[in-house]
Amino acid sequence: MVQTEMYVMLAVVLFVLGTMGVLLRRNAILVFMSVELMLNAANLALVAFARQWNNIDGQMFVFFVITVAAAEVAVGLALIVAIFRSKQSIDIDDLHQMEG
Amino acid sequence: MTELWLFIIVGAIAVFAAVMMLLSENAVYSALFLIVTMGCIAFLFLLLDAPFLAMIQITVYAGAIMVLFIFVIMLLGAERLGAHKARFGWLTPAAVILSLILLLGAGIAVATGGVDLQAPPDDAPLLRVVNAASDVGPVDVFVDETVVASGLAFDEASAFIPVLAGEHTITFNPTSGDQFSGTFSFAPDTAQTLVAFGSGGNVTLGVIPSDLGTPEARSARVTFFNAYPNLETVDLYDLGANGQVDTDTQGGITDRLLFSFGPGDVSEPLAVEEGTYAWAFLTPNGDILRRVVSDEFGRNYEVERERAELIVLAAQRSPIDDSLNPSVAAFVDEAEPAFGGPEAIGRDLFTRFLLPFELVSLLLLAAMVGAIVLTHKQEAPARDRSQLRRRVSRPLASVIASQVGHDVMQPENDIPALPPADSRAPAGD
Repeated sequence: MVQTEMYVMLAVVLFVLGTMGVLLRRNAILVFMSVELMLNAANLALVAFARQWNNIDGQMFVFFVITVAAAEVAVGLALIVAIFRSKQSIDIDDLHQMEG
Repeated sequence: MTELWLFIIVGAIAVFAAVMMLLSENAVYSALFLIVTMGCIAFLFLLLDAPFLAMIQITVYAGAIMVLFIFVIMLLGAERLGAHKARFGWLTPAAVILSLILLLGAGIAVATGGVDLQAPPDDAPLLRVVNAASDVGPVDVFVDETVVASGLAFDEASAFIPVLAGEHTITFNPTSGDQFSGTFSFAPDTAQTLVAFGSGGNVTLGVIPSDLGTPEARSARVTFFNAYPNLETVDLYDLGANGQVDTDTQGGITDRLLFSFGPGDVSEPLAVEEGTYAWAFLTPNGDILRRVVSDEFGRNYEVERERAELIVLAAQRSPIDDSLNPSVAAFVDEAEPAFGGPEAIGRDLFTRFLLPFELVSLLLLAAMVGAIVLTHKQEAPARDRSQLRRRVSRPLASVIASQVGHDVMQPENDIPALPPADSRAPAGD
């Protein structure tokens, strides 16, 4: 059985990669995909801890995280489409005005 | 060891794909690399005893969500951004340094936290008591000094009761006759059934280890216990449709389940597929002692899937002629669903997590409506445009009519060309 610690380490690495994506990439869709990667890393840690403690609650949380992520993606991509329509760009450096 | 290598290989692929997602210039490639990472995480879920979540990960994440991403990338034609310089030149090194600090901090926290040093708490041992003694009447059962069952009649069982791990003295206190007791040890994460059996003043306690885990697919786990004191041994046969003991061509008996089954013996747990069975206990010389039936009409015994069953052959004192007759009692428990399987998740979703489940459904509904509202294209209503045309065209037509001397408006083509669209575009578009 692989130790829980190793799974959590892998989750940490994936989470940091997701953070770097959010900070470095200028394409709004890529920023969004990096957020999904961070959510996945957190899910991996939750499932690893659920096995460690032999408790199904961790897996229930992952179930809800996946569901909420689906809702978030639907709204977020709709926002990106709306921004693209008004700005003709989804470069986050171009989106520095609060007015429409 | 295989599992470790699988973990290392799949984890390396996941990290590699995540790095490639970061570095790809083309957003479509990034999305495809993210799908690879999600597939690897689904595989790790399988290694972590979460088969249901692994399937959800593939269908919802790698399927639905990533299709949505790729669809939007293609729709907007946003796979490549212009290569103009970022506005803040210092942002890239700052982001890399901050991320490395985060990696270092979280890594140190995990490495020094000692996650694996803490063992999970053990489940309390479970105890069930069965009264199969013919002559003692209802009994009260004590674990040490505590009552766990009272008025337990013949062929009745208590529920599974959690007890503290360690040794306990179990005392059966019948309404008539002397009490009898025994000391048994209980280990964590186990379940045991204690059967009191025997006739007259000669009562024995038998221990049956009970396994409530998931049986094989579409089957039940059936354990037999012989609490019939009158015979040296009994045999158990599956009589089948013809109701007889079958023999093969060499004269061997083909349908015997248990042989030379003495009083107090416990059978191995048998994996029995769901269905109906004509089981019968036979005496050593081949007479049917007692059939195993599912109701008082004598129907064949019915086995349902995912059950843990205990079938006890006991001797019952007849109230009419005071003779001892064989009787069969079946104690059926639902097996615990497998950890991380759809049944375990579904059971929790509809019991403890019902309110969050409903709230998340509402959230999904709201997100759907929100996505429709956000992407809805706001066009000028058609009626306004026709009024716009009319307002412009009527004076113009009358001016032309006054110059050419007759009416230019024909019923067929009453809409002259519009002025250029860009000068008339509504504000804010």
